[in-house]
Amino acid sequence: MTMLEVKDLHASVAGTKILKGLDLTIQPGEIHCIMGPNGSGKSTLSRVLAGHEDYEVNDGLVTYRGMSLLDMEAHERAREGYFLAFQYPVEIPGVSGMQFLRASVNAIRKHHGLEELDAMDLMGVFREKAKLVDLDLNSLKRSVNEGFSGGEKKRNEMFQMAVLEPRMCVLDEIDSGLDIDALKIVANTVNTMRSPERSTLIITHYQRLLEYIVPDYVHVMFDGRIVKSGGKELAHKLEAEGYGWIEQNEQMVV
Amino acid sequence: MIEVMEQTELYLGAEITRGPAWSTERRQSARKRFRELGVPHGRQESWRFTNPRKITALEAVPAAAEGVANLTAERVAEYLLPDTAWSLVFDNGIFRADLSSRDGMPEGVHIEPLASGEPAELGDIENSHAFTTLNDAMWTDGVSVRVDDGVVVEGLIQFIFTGDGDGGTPAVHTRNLIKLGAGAKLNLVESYRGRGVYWTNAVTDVDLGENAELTHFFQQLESEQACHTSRFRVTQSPASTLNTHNLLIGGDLARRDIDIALVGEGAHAGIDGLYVVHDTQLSDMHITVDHAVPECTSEQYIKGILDNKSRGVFCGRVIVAQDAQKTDARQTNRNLLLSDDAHVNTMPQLEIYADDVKCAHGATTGQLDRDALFYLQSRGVDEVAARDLLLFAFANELIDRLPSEGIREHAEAFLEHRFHSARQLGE
Repeated sequence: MTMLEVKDLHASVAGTKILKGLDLTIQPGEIHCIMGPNGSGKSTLSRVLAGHEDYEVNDGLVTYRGMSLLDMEAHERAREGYFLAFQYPVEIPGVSGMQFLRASVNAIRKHHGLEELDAMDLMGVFREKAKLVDLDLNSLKRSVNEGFSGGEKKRNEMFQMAVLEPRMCVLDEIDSGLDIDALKIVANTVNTMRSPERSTLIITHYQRLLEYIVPDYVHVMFDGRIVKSGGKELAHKLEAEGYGWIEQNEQMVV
Repeated sequence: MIEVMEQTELYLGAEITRGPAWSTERRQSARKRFRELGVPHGRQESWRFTNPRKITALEAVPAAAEGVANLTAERVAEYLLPDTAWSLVFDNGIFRADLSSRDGMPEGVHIEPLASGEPAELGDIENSHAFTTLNDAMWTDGVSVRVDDGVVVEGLIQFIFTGDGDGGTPAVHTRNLIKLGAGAKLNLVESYRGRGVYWTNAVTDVDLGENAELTHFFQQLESEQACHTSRFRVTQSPASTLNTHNLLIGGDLARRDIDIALVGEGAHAGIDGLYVVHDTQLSDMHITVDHAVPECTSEQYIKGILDNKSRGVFCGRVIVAQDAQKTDARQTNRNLLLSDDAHVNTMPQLEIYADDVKCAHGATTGQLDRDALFYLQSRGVDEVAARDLLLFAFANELIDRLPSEGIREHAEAFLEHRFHSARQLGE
């Protein structure tokens, strides 16, 4: 079964059209990367697919593992294994990382008819996953993302991804503002979790994360559509030549 | 609707002689003064945002001196906090010795019902706050506590006041007097509970000696058909500490007035408040902290959660006298509105006459953070559960500051129940 199939997706926010007929197909086990200049609609795509209410879908179809993704609530998507690592992880004062993950893990388990885990069981899971992202478990006592640095917040996202073990992982600009060590933690998480049953979509402006993660496909997004697709060599061309040639091509087409 | 004049007489009742003989003269002056002041109305500045019409519309009559004996041990058991060591229980203003437990009180703690105890010094009658004046005239009973110098009471003392609208609409005037000697320490809970339609009008006066420390938890969990007005007046000697935690959940109209007089250097007053209201409830907190002398500190931390068409009023006044240098006074009021029809009036008032002081105040009113809601939903938590989690997070900051584990658990359970039943009504 195809993991994710996006067909002719049109979406807008506050009346402004952002996505203008986007197509994308991801098979299980694949790692895809969408690159594009600022304002091309990359983050809009990630939010629309995760079910953010501020975005209006005007047209198109999205099928996720045989289900109509756009007909599902945000929490239903998550329960079916769809995961978005946020570009700007949200701070939630007063809710500890522990409470947050407990609510999340148990909501998903309950959905699948599994017994809820108590604090003890959860700690076992957390201890194992914390090693992968080099996370200090004591930080889970603190409020979600509150007072964490940009890099630490992204690490928290990777920890959540490792704990929830989703089928479809979408990483929205996970690399922005990260130093090399943090970048390696992200790459290590994605590479370790790589499996024939799991797919990953990396959305980024820069090529540098791809020095550590080798994608199967690279797509270039421009003005709300995928305008070019290829292998990892496409990323190198973008790194060397920038986005200018894409824009020129597009303008010529118009 | 009855006339204002008649209302005044309705509240004063027919009987002139009420309560112990030592209080008669004082009551008579209070009756006279109440007649002059009259019943408060919405055109008075202090009642501008809290129209007392809901109270007057009850046409509550003074609770019968003999009381009703409806309160059962089962209900008292439900009202008791897990870590309460001693309790004094009152039903419609009448002391219920049979439901109270005072055994094994430490030496140096003198605790008794005000009406049947030693004559007490209640101070001057209230001159301007009409419902307190009415209480001066009409109180039936309450608790008198005196803790001798240096006596530290470890266990928790809980006062339980219940209102009962079964068989009439009583006005229950409760009066408490708490006096801590130098270096004395006390942990106290004041619980207001009830059922049906009634009006609680309580006054608690506190006198803290030098270095004394009072930890006070005020639980206003009245019936939602009832009205509640209460006054908490504290006078603090040098280096004394007051921490009062106020949980305000019940009542159709509930107004709490807190007046702190910092008259001894180095005294500290911490005032926490959490009001959680829904439907057409109104919750009002009027706080005045009077920094009369140098080097005192005060912190007001008040939060509100308002749903449906409920209303909140917060008026926090800090007065710093000219001589009160090195004052550190802080005040915060944060409100969370869960519906477009909920409304809050928040009025910070700083009157500072000294020049070397630190005073800070802040007030915010907002809605649940939509980004945080989406973040939770994107992790599989449904909207209702996500809202609950964020509500708890908002309330938790104050719950965490409650003085004991048992009190925290009780408050958490109560809020959980409250949010849950509010949801069920909404569905």
